[in-house]
Amino acid sequence: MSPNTPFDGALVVRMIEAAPNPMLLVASDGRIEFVNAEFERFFGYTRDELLGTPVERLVPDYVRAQHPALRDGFFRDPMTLRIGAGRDFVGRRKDGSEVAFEIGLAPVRTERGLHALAALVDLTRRRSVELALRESEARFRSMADSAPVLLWVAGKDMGCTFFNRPWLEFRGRTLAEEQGHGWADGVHPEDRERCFDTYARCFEERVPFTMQYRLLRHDGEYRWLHDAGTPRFDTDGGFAGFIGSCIDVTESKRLADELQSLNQELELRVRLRTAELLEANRELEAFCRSVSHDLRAPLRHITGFAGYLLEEPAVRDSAEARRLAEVIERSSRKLGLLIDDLLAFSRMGRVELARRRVALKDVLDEVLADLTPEVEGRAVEWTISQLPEVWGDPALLRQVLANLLGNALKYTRPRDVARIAVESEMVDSEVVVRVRDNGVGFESAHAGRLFQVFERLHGEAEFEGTGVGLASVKRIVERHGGRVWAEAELGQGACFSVSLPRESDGRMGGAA
Amino acid sequence: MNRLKRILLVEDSELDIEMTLRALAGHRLANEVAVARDGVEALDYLLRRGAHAGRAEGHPVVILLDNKMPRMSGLELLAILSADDELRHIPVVMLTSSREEGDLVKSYALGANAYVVKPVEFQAFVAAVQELCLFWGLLNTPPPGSVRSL
Repeated sequence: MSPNTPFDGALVVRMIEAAPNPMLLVASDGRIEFVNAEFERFFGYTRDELLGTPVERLVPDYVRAQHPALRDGFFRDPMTLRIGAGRDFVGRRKDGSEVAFEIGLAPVRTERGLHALAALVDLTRRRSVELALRESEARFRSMADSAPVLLWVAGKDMGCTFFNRPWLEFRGRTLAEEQGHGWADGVHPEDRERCFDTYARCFEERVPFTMQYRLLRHDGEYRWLHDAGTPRFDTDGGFAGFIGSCIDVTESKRLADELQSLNQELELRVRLRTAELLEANRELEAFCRSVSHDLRAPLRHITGFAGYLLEEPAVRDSAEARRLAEVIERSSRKLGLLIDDLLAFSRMGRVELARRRVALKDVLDEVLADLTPEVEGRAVEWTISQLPEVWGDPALLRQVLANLLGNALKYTRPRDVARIAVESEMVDSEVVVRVRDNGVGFESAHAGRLFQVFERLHGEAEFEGTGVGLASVKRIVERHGGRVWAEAELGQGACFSVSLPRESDGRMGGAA
Repeated sequence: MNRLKRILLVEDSELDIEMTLRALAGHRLANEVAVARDGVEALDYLLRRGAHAGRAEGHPVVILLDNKMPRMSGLELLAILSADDELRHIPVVMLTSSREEGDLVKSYALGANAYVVKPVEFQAFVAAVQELCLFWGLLNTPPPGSVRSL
């Protein structure tokens, strides 16, 4: 048999019977004339059940009424309708379930008249894939549209293919207007070159980018956007373009700018203030130098000449004249002490602290040694507890202890036995040192005044002093970042407390 | 011709001059103090110029030098002395009211031999002046070219 010899009819029937698609022949009145094996399987009927019955039994109820009209249309104007032309149908199987299929139709003319030959393609699988795809697409869209950011998707050619609703609402434009490079018109002219350069370069290199640029909002205002773009790849790993998200950072940018300008202003102000302070400090220093020199010289002359006056025979011979000269001498000596104390006090506020780890015990020992002359001939009971290390200037801390212990000795003078205790206690990161005595004390209502310069709670005749000592203590301790306070009752002794930092700024001070 | 004195006191305050001289009153050194009122006059004395052109040759055994003075301060004079090959050998005791650390450091840097702050206390002042003059004027052996010992 040559290739061009037609197959006999029996072979053609076998081929149709064996075809992998469901096939069906319908007469012009809608009766089923023929079905193949695949058709039987597809609808779940045997051909005996189908042959001679109206094809409408295979159509679901809700479209059954329309079907005869469709059929009539075909027979009135019979033409071949190929599969793939998109004629999707839903059929009803014997068990009542529905099946989706696409249908191709061709008119077949036989001796019995015009028939419609239908070939079906099962869409069940494709349907479910399509459905899943549509669902995923819808999910993506709803996510994209409800995201609080502006989203864009670009293809390989850098042209944008998608913008989410927030983007379109922000811009007040349609997807069609924004697609491709339409969005680029909205970029602020000053940012355009930088923005497009970054965009193009990162596309070229397929690397993520973040950038900020101004984009025109629907109300005509340019807003700063922070745009983060990432390359995206299709399932085969091929470069598919970019996807990016933008947030409006105008407010935070404005706040950041404001913060920066405030900082700059603050810095400037600090610089100015520092310069003013330095100047004031310089002036104060000059003033102190002049006080120390210019006040001391005449004072020296007063004491000196009062001294020489006392050596004059005329004065030596007159008790009253001698007394008068001695008053001058005493008063000028007192003035000298005051000037010295004041200068020392003022210097204390200005000198740089030379801080390091200081063993308070050593400092206390030195102070006690210095006080030996004052202790001599007196009954003093010392109670010295353990003293820790602190972070401070040893020379200044020595002045603190010298002042406090000196005071304790001074104000216990009326006591037969002076009892002086030095105690310490750790409180958080501080050391509290207490100097307690059984001296004359003071009225607790006046505790605050004690630490002011020239404030004295006792008469000069009773206890000598210039009223600078405790003010110095307070100044030194406060410069160390500590506090000083006092408790007492009149006649019941006093307790002075000083808190000092144990460590420098919270860290253990290493070798200083 | 003016006699060369063993001690040159450079001091602008009349009262300080009087106090210093009084402190030495009755002392062997009372008549051994020449006074210059500022650095310029001190230099004239040392170089035998101007008002002191006629004084005898030789150098004082010590200069007691105040700092704050008109025309030429003590530190300025010290700078000139230390740059002079001959004059830099004369011992200089700074005798001043100022305890300023800057002055102290500068003084020693310029070759001062001692730095004494004038005591405010009368007895201390008298004692300081007497001891200074005793030590530098009598006890210390001055460099060659100074006035001969008493």
